Amino acid sequence: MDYQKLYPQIQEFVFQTKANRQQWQITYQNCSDALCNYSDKVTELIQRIDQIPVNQQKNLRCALPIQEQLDQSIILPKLDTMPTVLAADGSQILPDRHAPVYYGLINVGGFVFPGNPQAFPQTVQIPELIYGEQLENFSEARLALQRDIHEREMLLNMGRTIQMPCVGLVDGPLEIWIGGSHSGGDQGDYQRSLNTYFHLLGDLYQQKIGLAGYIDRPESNYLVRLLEIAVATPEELQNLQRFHPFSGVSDVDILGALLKPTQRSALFSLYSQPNIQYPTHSQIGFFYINVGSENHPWLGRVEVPAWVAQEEQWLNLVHTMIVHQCQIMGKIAYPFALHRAHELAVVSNEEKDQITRWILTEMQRSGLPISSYSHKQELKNLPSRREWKNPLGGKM
Amino acid sequence: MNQIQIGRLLSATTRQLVVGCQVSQIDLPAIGSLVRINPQVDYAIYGLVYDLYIADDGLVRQLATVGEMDEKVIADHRLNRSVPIEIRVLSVGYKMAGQIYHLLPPKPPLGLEILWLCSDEEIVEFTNSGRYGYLRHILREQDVAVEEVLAAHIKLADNAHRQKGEADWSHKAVQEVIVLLRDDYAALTRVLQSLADSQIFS
Amino acid sequence: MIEKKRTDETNEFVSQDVRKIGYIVGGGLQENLKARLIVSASQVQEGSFVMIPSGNWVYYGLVTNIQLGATDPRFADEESELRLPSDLASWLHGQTLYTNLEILPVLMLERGPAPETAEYQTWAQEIEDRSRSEPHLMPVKTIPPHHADVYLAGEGEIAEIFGKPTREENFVLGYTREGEHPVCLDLDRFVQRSAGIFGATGSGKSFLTRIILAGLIQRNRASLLVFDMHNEYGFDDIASDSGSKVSGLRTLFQTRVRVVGLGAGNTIRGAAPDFNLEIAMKDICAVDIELLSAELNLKETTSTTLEALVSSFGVENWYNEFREMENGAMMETEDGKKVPAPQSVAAWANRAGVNVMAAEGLHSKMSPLFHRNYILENPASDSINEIVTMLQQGQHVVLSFGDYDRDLDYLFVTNLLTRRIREVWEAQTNQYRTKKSNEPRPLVIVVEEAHKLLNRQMASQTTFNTIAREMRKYYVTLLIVDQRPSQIYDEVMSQLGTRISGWLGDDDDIRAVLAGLAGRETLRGMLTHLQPKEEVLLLGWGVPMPIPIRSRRYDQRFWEDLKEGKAGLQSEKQTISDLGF
Ligand SMILES: Nc1ncnc2c1ncn2[C@@H]1O[C@H](COP(=O)(O)OP(=O)(O)O)[C@@H](O)[C@H]1O
Ligand SMILES: [Mg+2]
Repeated sequence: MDYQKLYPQIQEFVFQTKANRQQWQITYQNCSDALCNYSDKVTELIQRIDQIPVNQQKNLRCALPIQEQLDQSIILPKLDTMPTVLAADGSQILPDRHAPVYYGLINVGGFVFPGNPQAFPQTVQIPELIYGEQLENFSEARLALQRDIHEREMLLNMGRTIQMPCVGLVDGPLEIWIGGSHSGGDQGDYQRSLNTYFHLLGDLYQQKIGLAGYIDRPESNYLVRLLEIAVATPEELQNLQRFHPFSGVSDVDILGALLKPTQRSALFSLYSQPNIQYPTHSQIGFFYINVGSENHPWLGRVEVPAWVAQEEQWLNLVHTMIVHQCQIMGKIAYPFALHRAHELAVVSNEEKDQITRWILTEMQRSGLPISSYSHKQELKNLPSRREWKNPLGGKM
Repeated sequence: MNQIQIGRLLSATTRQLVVGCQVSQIDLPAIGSLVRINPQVDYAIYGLVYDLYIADDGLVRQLATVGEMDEKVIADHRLNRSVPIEIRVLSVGYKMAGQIYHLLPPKPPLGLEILWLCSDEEIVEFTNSGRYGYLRHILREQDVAVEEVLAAHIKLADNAHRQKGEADWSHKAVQEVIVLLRDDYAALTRVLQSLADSQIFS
Repeated sequence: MIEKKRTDETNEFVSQDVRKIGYIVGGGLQENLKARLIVSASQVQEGSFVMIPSGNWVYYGLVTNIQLGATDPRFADEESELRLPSDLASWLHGQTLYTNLEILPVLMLERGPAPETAEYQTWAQEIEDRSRSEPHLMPVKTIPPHHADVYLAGEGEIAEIFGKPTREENFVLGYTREGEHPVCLDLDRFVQRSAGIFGATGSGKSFLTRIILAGLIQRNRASLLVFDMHNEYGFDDIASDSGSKVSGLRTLFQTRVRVVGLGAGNTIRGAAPDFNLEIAMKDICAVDIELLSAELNLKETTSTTLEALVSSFGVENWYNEFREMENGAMMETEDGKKVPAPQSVAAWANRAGVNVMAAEGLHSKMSPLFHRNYILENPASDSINEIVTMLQQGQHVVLSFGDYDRDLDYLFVTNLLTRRIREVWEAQTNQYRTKKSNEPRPLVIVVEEAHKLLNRQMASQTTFNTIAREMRKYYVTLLIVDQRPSQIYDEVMSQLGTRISGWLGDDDDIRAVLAGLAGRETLRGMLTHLQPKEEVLLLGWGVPMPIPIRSRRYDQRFWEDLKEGKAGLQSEKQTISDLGF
């Protein structure tokens, strides 16, 4: 790396950021003022969204107030019992055409954090090898979708046997990722997966298993977008897709100052086209929550399906559960159960290599010809000078 | 023979072996245990476990910073988290064509060979062959808690020998250690202190 | 620990009761051998007699020092038994703490190649054929190699070196320090040269002398003349410290020993002597007086005066004449002047032309002698001659000084007597040499308080000096008994064949006893560590090698053994168990 050439660019970068920051301060102030002005105008805002022309609604994603004031902060409810937390997280190995064998893998880790004070946490790991037919029309998005579905399946399976109130927890939004569906791929296939997902949600609802998705350090601006709609003139509403007066300000920016530790924001419904397609009981709502400490706010976004959002008891359980889970982790606030599920799911590079070798060995054993790494990959595999470590550590 | 498998070889030099395993603590071999790797049918390498290394784990560190720890978190860590454990082994001898040598193995084993825990019979066979030559491999190490490994080994081996009705093995072993270390006052004192703490001797 | 022998040790030089005590780790001829002790230090003592068989040789030596060592001094400093379990502590000590022996190598003896080998056969055959000399003890000329085994010698080895007690000439003088094995003195060899018994007062000289004298009388190869200044040897005595009865030689050997009392009417220890020694005045020579110069504080003029006396009155009469003179007697002349009386010393001096003052001075200084009642003008018998005859005939004479315990008497009498003896033995030897008479009977003159007679000043004048130096040829030797060997003339000391010494504290005395011997530094230590009254060190030409011994007890049992002709084989330990302890 030629640091001499890089340095002036770094200086320029910092300079610009500083300039932008001043601009941002102004925008932020405007946005905050808007929040103040419109906080209690819930009904007015709902009507206003209805006035948005259909062509402008297509890609719109914003908060839809339900009944609480926009800038409301809700304190941590006191509960006698804790729900059992079911956390599921998946990871995947993408098929690699440079590797000697072409396969993919989804590994889902599940973690049960029991509400019963006497019970111990439990873990589950379910790996699934993806190969052959499954890899026809392969795309990263499809694998991710499959993984998400496996995660929810696991929550369902774990929750079946649990008596106490329990809440399934996943990392990321509940709204399933559809990024890949537009860029080619099999639309029908996508729809099938979506249906499977809806079924799963329905099952969870029926089994009375709560569900929440936790988004750490969210950059979303759903509430800010709502405020933009609020301040828009009718003309501006006509061209809403281009109207971004509060651009650069996120929900966390404006709520960070309002929410005290352990408090959550008002509950909103997510206004988006995909969400509208969701079964009514599973339509997605969200709130923000401060899991940080005094002077060090740390906001997370929690997504919940309608069956949770509409029941105050469920909502309280989720609120308390998230706070508790984050507290376990101390300063690095993040739900403990989710982290554990993630830990169980992660497939390390060594593990991946080992699996590759394993498959190769088995193939060899059954007399199949085996190929090797591509040269490109093989060169990459050579240890770089800096990375080399004495295999035994320490001096020998 | 009832074989206990401990783990698989990660890396090795002629003098030391590193073995990875994910067993729960109950199955872990104790420091000083005699272990064996069989790279070939007629070739076995013997080693002494001198260190167990539990890989650095960010989560545990993070959890440890939290004042009040949830019992469940502790239980989870102990029961469920399969933190990889590295077992470090000193090569102390080998067996070839039925003959035991207290020399460093002529060639180190290859990766992923299985590490086995030696039975009492094997301990007796290995420690009784020759004249305690293998002890020098332990005493030579600089970065090893020599005295602890030695005391632990003598205690384990003494136990094995007693099972076979041989009560004075440890006596002879300690004599040998003293002879080997008598010019190194500090080292010998540490070793004897450890042996005293091991409470094998009256 | 009875060490089983190596196959090549099944030979006559290693007896069954030897114990391996260690192995050689270093050293040399100059600075002694060093051996690592493998048994408890309590089993070995300074002076222990050890043997080191190695190759074709057996080496014999003495333990001269026992030293504690540690591989690291910290092992010794640390009281590890307090910190470690006792097993560990004792194993640690076994390996890091050790005891080294210093061994003075003295003798070596060829033992030949390992028996039952062809080499051995050849070797033995060569000796048989006399093409090779018989193995004999010789001073060490080389040393055993590293790790040669060191054994504590057994009875057999002691006998091998110091002689078997069963042989007639060998007399058990004591036992090895451990009190186990008898150590012999070859009496024939002992009397061949003058010998000395030394030790501080109370160290056991007189008792040991009694023992040796008893042995010599028993052996009967030499006559003894004992100058018994303190009346210890003839009749029974009471031990000054224990108060128990100590038998005299006369009591045991009866008529073979004659006790002679000095002067008439003296009793010795309450008993009447066999006869009295009375000295005829005619027997007194001028030299006998000159010898007393120091004692009587005589002037330089003495010899002139004495010469004048002898020439005036003759050799036989001078003493009596001089004694008769009246010192300072005066008479008045016709003209009323006072002049020396004719019978006065001055009158004689004037006549003889010697200095009056000198003559008068000598007369007055000799007056103690003039009043000795053992000096007679005409004794009833020639007792000096009687003594000489007795000695010639094989009897033993103890001359007790009775109440004449002044140095004056001792010097005067012993010299006079010895002078006569010397004349007689010299004459007889000369006759014998010319085949005119029998071989003279060997004579040992025992001199207590020898330094009085053999000190530097006296030595030149007394007969003892001559005897010590020359009389060996004439069958007369000295056995000198003394507590101040440093005061004895070196010339005399150097003549002593056998030296036996009890404990000595004075450096000069120690040096004197060890003069001329190899390994003096080592022996010095041994001398100072001797147990008074119990132990003595045998040294010198008369013994094959120096060795400290526990001296034989001079007691009832000794007498009984001697009477029954037992050699004293039983060790002290056995004796004790015999007595039922
Ligand atoms: N061989 C011995 N047997 C018995 N007692 C002895 C012996 N040697 C010395 N002793 C004891 O030691 C004391 C002193 O001994 P002694 O021969 O008179 O000493 P020294 O003549 O050297 O002054 C004796 O009274 C006696 O009790
Ligand atoms: Mg005396």
